[in-house]
Amino acid sequence: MTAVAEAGAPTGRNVASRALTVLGVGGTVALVILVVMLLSAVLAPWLAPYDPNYPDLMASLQGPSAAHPLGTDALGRDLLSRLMFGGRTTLLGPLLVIVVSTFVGCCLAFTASWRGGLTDAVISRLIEVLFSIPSIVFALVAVAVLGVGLLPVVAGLIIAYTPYVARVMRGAALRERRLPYISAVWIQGRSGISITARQLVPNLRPLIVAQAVSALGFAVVDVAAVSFLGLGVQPPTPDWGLMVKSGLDSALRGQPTEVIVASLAIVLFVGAVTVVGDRLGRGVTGR
Amino acid sequence: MTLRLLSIHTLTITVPATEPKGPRRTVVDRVDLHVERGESLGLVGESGSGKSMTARAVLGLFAPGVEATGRIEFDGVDVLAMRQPELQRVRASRIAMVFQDPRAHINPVRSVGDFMTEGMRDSGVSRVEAGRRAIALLAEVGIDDGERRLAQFPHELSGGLLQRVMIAAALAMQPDLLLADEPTTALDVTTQSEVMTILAEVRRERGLAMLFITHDLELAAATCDRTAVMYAGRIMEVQRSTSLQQAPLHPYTSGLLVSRPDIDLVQRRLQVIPGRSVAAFEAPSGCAFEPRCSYAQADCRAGEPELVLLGSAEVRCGRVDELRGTLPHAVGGPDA
Repeated sequence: MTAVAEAGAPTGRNVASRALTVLGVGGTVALVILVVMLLSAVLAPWLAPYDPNYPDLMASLQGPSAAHPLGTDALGRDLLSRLMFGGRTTLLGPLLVIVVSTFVGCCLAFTASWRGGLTDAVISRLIEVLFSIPSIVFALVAVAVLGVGLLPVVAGLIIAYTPYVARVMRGAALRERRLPYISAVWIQGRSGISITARQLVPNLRPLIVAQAVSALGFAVVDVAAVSFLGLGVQPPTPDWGLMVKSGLDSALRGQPTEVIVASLAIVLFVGAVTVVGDRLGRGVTGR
Repeated sequence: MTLRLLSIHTLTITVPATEPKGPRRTVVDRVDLHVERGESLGLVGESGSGKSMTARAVLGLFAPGVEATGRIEFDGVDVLAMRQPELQRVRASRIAMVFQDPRAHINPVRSVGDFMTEGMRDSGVSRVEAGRRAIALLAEVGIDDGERRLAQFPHELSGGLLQRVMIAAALAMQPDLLLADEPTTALDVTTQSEVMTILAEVRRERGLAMLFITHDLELAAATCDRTAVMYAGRIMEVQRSTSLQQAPLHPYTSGLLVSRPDIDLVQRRLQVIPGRSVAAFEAPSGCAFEPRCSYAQADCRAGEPELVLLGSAEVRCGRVDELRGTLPHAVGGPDA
């Protein structure tokens, strides 16, 4: 809590030193990796050396070279460019999942903890039921109902991830609302909504952020898995999960670069996210 | 006759049993109290005597499982029967509360300004106006550099300063009644007297009534118009503070007064009331204080005495007529 309460102008140096104190060296390195990967995805149209979908059949299945730093795929498309553009869909989907499920999960959790009684019982049982079903099943059912594509997968995973958020936040909110300062504002006649927005959310924000970051890693794996199965993003759109799939075919033909770089990208991102989430979580629960 | 501001009738509060299927435990037993407009009433008792419970009940603030019966009429309307929106209105604008430990009762991650202005903002006051009012309120409790204080966080303020902030925040919605739950217990003695002076000032200026809860009998008697003494969840005695100190009517009050050290006397041992204080549900069937009372007789065990009116005082003692005027109020006997 103290780290959050520290006031001060957010100068560049301040941000760096705070990142180091909260995340440690490993966490800071992981954070830098995340930022670089996100930036290269966002800025792909300006940074990528080639059009990710331009096939150069004369240069197919090449290993790394000066012209193609990471080599090319079976259709001769530049793998670095595809990796950068692929980051856009691969990361946008999970980010959407996390933002929406965190919001919905928090709403459910705060409602349950605030109202208590029957409302709490109904929401808690609902959470438990959803909890018992693996997240990938939700994604597959959503694809079956809504059709193939990124958005149905995202919709399915939102339903799958909401209970995770709701369960953690409900417990935290219950603990927090027993504290005296909450009853102090409660007897000032504030509404539950006002107290939630102005007291609970700011105080639980470190936990909410840590939880969301950790869940992001899982969501990236889930979305990539569905893409790998061919049910998410469709070719020729570049996507890390799809690249692993098509890379497997290339690997059988003697050129494993695509499957290696795509898998590495996923592992690196998920690993970095997990480390950052873990450090944030430790910062929250350690105090 | 004008309506009393607050009048509590036979308030009984029970909490759930400790073991499953056990009987519910009574912590406040048929409490009768009233506070006139602009009056201050001190509520004195040992830990566990039910004084805080009584005050919180006035705001309808109960922990889960706690049940209250009786009536708490605030301005003629029963608080216990109020529905949520109505209760919320009363809490927001008519009754305010100041707590013992300001540091625990102010959100640590929000600024003093946020804490003070939120209530006003919720009732539709603009941000600028709320800030201006907050600064004026802080000035009223003796904090001059309000603008700087509003930007600070609770951990940057001392306990006394924070308690003043809490009082200022309590005054924000111009309440009629202030519930002060041991507001000075966590403060050192000099800060305590400052805070009490400020409380007295704002009460005088605003005609604010106060229910002042404390275990410091002397402090209550010095600052309040009337003082009520609670023991084992019951009201034992209510009197004007001056007469309570000079002529206590209940042996328990007398015992409390006598157990204080006298500044002019060298005392090797302090006088004590024998035994330990009990909660309402542990009290014997007769007079609750009987086991510890040095004036107890067989009759005292027979049945619990009623709270009887005696002039302007009220007392719950079966032998009050015999003992009246004989109970010591200071070390060394009644005339010391």
